[in-house]
Amino acid sequence: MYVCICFAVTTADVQVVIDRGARTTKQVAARCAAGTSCGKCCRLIRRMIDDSPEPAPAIIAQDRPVEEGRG
Amino acid sequence: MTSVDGPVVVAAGYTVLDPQRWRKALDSQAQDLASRGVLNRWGYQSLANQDYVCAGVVVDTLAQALALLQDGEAARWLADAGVDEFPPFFVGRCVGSVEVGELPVVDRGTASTTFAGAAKHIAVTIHSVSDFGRWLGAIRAAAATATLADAGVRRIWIYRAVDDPTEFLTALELGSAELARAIPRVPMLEALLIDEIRVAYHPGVFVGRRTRAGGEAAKRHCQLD
Repeated sequence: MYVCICFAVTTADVQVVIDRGARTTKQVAARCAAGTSCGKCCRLIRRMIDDSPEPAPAIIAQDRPVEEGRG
Repeated sequence: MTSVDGPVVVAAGYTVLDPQRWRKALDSQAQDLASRGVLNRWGYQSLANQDYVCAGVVVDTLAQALALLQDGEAARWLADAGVDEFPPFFVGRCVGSVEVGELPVVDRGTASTTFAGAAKHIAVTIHSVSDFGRWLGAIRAAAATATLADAGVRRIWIYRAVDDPTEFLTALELGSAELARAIPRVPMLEALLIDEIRVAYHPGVFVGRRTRAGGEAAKRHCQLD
């Protein structure tokens, strides 16, 4: 399923970013561009974040820190 | 099992602010879409909730499907149609269809460039399948029983996502609105479809009636192994 049609970002792509520690739509945007054009998918991305458990600290530590994006 | 060519279906289920506005948008986009590889466009309105719809296009190639999404055409159309929150889009190819009856016929050679054969009433679900061969075997066995035929299921169409080989869109051609309304309560379908659902952010089963758009009967190649 494509979540962000502007950049052809799939649910799997977004879930990977969330699983690696992104907890805001801006953080997701900074990592995979989803939501940075028309922004109409941001509510769906927000739901995906809310439905995902906080990743374990070890998983976050393996990845570089997530920067805030343009949204 | 892979289908490497054949028309690509782009489909989504979503809520519209005004069903009349959505239907108008669906009917008015035809002209330049053909030049962009769109073979057919279609829309179904939920029988349970007229604000909820399932719609999409059939496109000649995957590149054309992704171009339609990425160049803003789809976003503009959704905005014109009064869609406030964009849904996730299923993008996939038809891998075949199974005719429901005493001796189910599996259509290996062709698939319509219409969606689900342009059936008037359909039930659609997007779901994961961990073992496609086993699942298809169960579909074929179910198609041979009287349960599905009695429930008004005429043909089962199977589409596989291009971005995830374990994700499928399954569409059932249904006999009438009355039978369609009863479909979610058919126990065998629950076992075959609903129990398999693991794709989040998409409603369980959409049951709807076709709107005016759609109905083309051209055929294209696809395969079902």
